[in-house]
Amino acid sequence: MFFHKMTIDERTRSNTRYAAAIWLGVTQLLLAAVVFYRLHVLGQADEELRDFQAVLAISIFGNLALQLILGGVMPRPTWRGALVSYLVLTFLIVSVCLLIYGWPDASRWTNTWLPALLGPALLIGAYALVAYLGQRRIERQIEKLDQ
Amino acid sequence: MHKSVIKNHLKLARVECGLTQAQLADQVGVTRQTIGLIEAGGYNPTLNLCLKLAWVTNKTLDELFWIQGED
Repeated sequence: MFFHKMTIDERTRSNTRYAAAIWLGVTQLLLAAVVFYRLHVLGQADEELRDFQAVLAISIFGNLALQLILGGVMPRPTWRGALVSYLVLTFLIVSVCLLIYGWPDASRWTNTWLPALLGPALLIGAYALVAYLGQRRIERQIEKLDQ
Repeated sequence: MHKSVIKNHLKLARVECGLTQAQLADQVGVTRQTIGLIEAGGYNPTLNLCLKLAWVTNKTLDELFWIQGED
C-alpha cells in the first residue's frame, strides 16, 4: 500500500553479504583503534580494556574460523610445517618482546615465557583444527551430494 | 593477462519476446535493476538465473550468454 513490492534476488543478497563483510572489517578496525587510543594515548590500564579486547578477538578469530569452516579451502599444515611455523612465530614474538621489554624476571614466567611459548602453539593448533574441520565438512557435503 | 568478459544478448531476446525489463524480472524472480545490469554487462548472473532467463526467452544458454576473451 505504501511501498512497492520488494524483491530480494541473488544480486541484492550478494550485495548485502559484501556490504556486511566490509562493515565488519571497518568495525573491527575502529574497535582496534579505540583500544589502541585508550591504551597508549589516554594511558588506561590494560585490565580496564579486557572486555573490548575479548570482543575484538572473538570477532576477528570467529570470522576467520567461520570462513575457514564454510570455505574449507585453507591448506592443512603438515607436522613439519606446523613445527617450523611454531618455531618461526615463537622466535619472532620472543625477539620482539625481548627488544621492547628486555629479559623478563624469572618469577614472572607465567606472564612472560608461558604466553610467548604456548600462544603460538595454541594459534597453530587452532588453525590446523579449523582448517581440518572445514575440509572435512566440504568432503562430507560432496559425498552426500554424490549419493 | 588474459581477462574474460561475459557478454549477452538478453536485451535482444527480451525485446523479441515483447517483454519489458519489469515483466522479465517478475517472471524470473529478480528485480528490474538486476535485469538492467545484466543487459548492460554490469552484473554476471548465476547459472541458475541464466537458465531461468534462457527458459523464459525461449533461447539456449549459449545463444544468450558467451565469454569474450580479451588479452
